[in-house]
Amino acid sequence: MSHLTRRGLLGLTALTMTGLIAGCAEETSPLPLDKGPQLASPTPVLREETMTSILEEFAAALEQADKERSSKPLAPRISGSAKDFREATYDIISKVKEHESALQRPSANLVVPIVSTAEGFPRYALALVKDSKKDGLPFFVGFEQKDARSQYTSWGWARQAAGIEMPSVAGIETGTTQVTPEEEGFVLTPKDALAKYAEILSFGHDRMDPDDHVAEDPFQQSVHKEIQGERKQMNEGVSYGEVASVAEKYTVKEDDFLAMRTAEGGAVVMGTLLSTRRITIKSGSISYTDDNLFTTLAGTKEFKKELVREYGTTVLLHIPAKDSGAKVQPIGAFKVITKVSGR
Amino acid sequence: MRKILGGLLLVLGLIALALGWAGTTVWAPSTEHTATVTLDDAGVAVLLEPGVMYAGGHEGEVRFTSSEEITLITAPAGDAAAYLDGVKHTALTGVPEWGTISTEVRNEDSEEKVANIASSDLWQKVSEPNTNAAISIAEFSREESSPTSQQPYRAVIAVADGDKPVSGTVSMSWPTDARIVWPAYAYAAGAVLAIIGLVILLLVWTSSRSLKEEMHEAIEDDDAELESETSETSGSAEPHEDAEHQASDESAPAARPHGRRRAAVDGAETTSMTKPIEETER
Repeated sequence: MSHLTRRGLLGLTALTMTGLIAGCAEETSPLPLDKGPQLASPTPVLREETMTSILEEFAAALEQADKERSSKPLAPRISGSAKDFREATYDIISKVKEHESALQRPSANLVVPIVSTAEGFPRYALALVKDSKKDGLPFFVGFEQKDARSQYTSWGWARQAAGIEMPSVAGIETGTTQVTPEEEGFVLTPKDALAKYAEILSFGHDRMDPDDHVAEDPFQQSVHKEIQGERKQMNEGVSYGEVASVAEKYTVKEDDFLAMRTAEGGAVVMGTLLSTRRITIKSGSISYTDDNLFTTLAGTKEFKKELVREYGTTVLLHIPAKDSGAKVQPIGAFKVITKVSGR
Repeated sequence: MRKILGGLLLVLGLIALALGWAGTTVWAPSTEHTATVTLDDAGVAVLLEPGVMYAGGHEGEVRFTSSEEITLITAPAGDAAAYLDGVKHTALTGVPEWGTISTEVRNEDSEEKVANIASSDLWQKVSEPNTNAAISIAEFSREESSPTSQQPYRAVIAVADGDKPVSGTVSMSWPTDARIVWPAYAYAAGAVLAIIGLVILLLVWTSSRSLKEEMHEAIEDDDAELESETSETSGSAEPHEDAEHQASDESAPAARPHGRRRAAVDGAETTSMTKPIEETER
């Protein structure tokens, strides 16, 4: 073997040894893609800090809009019925300054959040917040996120009913499932419960709820008392309904719906009711000596045929589970006058 | 022979030590794995799909570098996909091999624009805009496995300031625990061999040194003996009993053997010198 060949062999051996030694390193490959664990149940996407931020924007927008008497600052956090009702209120205030008292509003001060675990859209959230004025009863503010690129917006809020026991709900970390309008498993489906409540408000509990599915509540009592008072006032000194009849018909606004399951298996349902209170003059006329909200908005002090007032009401009902033996309990409402007309 | 053995062991030991050093330095595996991709026009967003950042483990960093300020958004995978549905964006879908991030341009022909992406209510976490935005993989992983807020793996969306098309570089790096074990053995074997070799060499050196000293001592003894004999011969009237001694004493020059022994010591012919010394001592 020549000297050169021996040297070459030595070099080759050294190279092989180097390769072998270097190859002894524990070399690894990237891990295969793992998309993560599957949870037993989904968790809410909306967190408390986001909820707080949404409420702050909501309250600030409402305050600014009230200050400007303009609905422009309401977007994007306030929309739909809430925007329509507020616009109507601003319009009325522009004609009757005393109506400013109607500008009651929720604050950003969160008391109880109720968030959804829905993975699709729309997604709902409900927040019990304090009144912007001290000592006022809290408001339930409903929020809806229509699709992935939409913000949570509120189409309504309802003031918590006094003296009514509130249902318990899951915490914000756990969240709760959403309920569809026709979902079974409750005393009434959410859609039927809203319709039943509208009927009760329109025609009375005894007549419209013979099976006693719906419990009494302060809002219902005040509405009926108010109508009875007007009837009495219109027909003073004459027999019942001789001069004028007073009736208010409530209907459910289909688009406004929000429902989430409560801890005991029931659901809280928020909806909007539109109502028209009509005073129909049967004989003679009704005259007001001084201007008031109705005469100013109607443009007359004397009504010979009718006086019509339109309202929008956001309501919140608690619907118990079917086998619970409990009744549907209205737990919140907020009513706004939107229009007055008469002739 | 022992000298050669000692030297060989020392050399082998040094080679093994050098190999050990090379194994921990030159041949050592890298301390981190990386994967990078550069995007020229990714669309309105870059979507880092769930789990991709864990291709190299649950530690490390994801970094987005761009000339524009980039905002990093954290969201559930479904929400991110729903938000970006129908708009052009680039998804980072995996790390097929170290160094590479696989991408997929979605809705490439779409010209749909999305405004204020970063301000959506869907997002769980939105970073401050930065031209060099980073996510700690360990922190991200901890958030996903937090017992108080357990959630599946999340997506990350990178959007440019002002909702401009995203361009820049996305890099991911993970620390690695890759290691080679043989350098430790090479160090140990090298050290042992070198020590044994040194010890052998030391023993050889010590034994040769003691031999030299013995020889020196023997020479010195002989010299002293010779000197005393010489002085006795010149100063005493008593005749020598040994004929040989007598003969040698009589023959001149009497100091020759002495001169020969010195020359032998100087020449370090230890073996051949043993005999004359023994003869002398005898």
